[in-house]
Amino acid sequence: MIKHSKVKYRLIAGIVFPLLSSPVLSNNFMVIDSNNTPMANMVVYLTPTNEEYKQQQLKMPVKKPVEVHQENKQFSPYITVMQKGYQLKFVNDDDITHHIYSASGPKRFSFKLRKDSSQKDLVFDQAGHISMGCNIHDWMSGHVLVVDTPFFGVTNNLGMVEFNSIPEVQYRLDIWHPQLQTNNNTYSQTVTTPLLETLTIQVNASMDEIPTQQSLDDFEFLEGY
Amino acid sequence: MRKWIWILLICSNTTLAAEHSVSAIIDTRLSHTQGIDSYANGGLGKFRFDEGNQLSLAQAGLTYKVDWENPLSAQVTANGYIDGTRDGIGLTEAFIKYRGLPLDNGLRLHAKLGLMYPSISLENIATAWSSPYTLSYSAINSWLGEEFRHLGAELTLERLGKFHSSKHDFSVSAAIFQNNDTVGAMLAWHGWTISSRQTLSHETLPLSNMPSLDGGSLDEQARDSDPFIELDNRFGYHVHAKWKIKGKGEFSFGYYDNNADTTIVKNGQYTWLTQFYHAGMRFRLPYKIELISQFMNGDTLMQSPQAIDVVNNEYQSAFLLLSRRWDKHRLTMRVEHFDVTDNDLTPDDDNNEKGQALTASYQYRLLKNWFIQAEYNYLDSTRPARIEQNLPSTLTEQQYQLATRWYF
Repeated sequence: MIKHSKVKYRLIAGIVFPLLSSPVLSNNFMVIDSNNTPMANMVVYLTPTNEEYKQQQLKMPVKKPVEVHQENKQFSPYITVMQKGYQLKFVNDDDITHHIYSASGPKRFSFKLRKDSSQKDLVFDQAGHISMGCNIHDWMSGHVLVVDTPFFGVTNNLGMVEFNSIPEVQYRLDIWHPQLQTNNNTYSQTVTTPLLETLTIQVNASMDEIPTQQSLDDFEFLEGY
Repeated sequence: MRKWIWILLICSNTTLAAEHSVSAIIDTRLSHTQGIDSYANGGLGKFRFDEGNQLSLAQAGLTYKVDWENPLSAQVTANGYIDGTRDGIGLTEAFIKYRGLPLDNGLRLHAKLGLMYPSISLENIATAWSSPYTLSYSAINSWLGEEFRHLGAELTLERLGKFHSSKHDFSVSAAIFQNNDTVGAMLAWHGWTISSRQTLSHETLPLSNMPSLDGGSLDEQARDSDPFIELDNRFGYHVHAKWKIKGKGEFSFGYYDNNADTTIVKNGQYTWLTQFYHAGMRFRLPYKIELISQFMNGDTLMQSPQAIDVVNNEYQSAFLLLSRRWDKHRLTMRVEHFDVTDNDLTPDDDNNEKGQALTASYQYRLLKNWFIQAEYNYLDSTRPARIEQNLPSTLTEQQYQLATRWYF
């Protein structure tokens, strides 16, 4: 199971670009807010500005499906980031049915996921933000960000994200969070790798309150009256 | 009514992919009641058990649910009681539910069709209409359990705030219904109660030995009230609105009108025109204290075939419930007030009543689905009509209950 705060997106750029002769370098980014406080759980992704690299990405090997679980009537993780063209697996760990639906975004779906480890695979072949809900448990909310690049990650509790062995080119760096109060919930800037030291990026935008995925009712045997 | 049940059963057997599930509650209870004989058995006692000690199967409730792949589901709920006052087993609810997916603008449509409660109670939210908070329901919800059930259709339009980055959800509902033409009779003739018994769909409710039933003003009235019958072939309606604040609570407000034609009386069953406003709120207070409060105010009218008011009552009740859970422990306190004001001139049928009640309940979660609950109920009331049955006008009743409740 993927825990939200512990998500590690291993980047496999090293496999993709074996011809690059440069030593394996890690590029570290730190995302802070206007009060210099580290921002955790922010999606960070790098898109090469050079078209040639974009073409090469299409030849990426198949990745294991990314999973989003329904656990204790919550989407876990709250934010999932994945590359366009790959498969997302929905897994219901609860002993009740969930009725998952997409509320917005390029991929629209709805299905009932029965109790006890029922699964459903969906391929996301268009980049964009998909916000999800459960039609039975309205407090549940989850987000999928589908990106058109293999270079993505999520900041840890220290606001840090690491990209290993990525091509040394110029990128557009996007920082995204569903509650980030900017245009398209995104903050962008241009960066060029390799980085000699951690690049600190200050996001001068406010964050909306992250919704608690919790019902007011704490009794388990409710009938939905 | 049986026809509906058959429709539900046939629907549930169709070959569409569906999930079938059963949920149940078994509530075994030991009670000690200090008071008079229960209203449930034709007395004027406010609790469901007669005076003295009683070991009972206080509720055996079972809900069978079919959930199809589409937004439709159906459920049938049966309840059984072996309680020393009125044993019985039967259906309490049976309906089909439609719960559409929200549209892009956050609007969602729900519909419910069948035998159901009007959506009013904020306490009775658990399996088979049980309450997770107390063993005995508030006066308002005890009345709903006794006299309210209808065959009808309810349509709800909801606006989900999360589609607009808002914490506020709003909904409006409208229901039309039949089979609730005698509602108000029991509230008039035995008054408010603090109970945990739901009337089964086939049951009739015994009246107390009111002298007016023997050659008095109520000579034409049958000895039992038949609560879920249709006498005038008119539809009643219930509208209500709800405002939910995510993570905080909700407010609701509604109006119920059974729209009965009071000129009709059949087989000793009079048609009662019953109308009321209701309001409710539920809030999560600091220190994880849950607050639930409901209020109801309305009137009921029963007339002779000559259109003379036989019963014309106003009534109101309100309760405030506070509940707090500490891991396996839950403590709930409820205070309430209730009254009935008799506005008619019928000399031998005084329905005036006034009272208040206090409930303290402690629940311990023994296992995941097994609870032990101890509860104390205190109720004092003034009801002058008790005098004609040689009972005191002012009366204090108390009840101690110890229950094991098993949910699955």
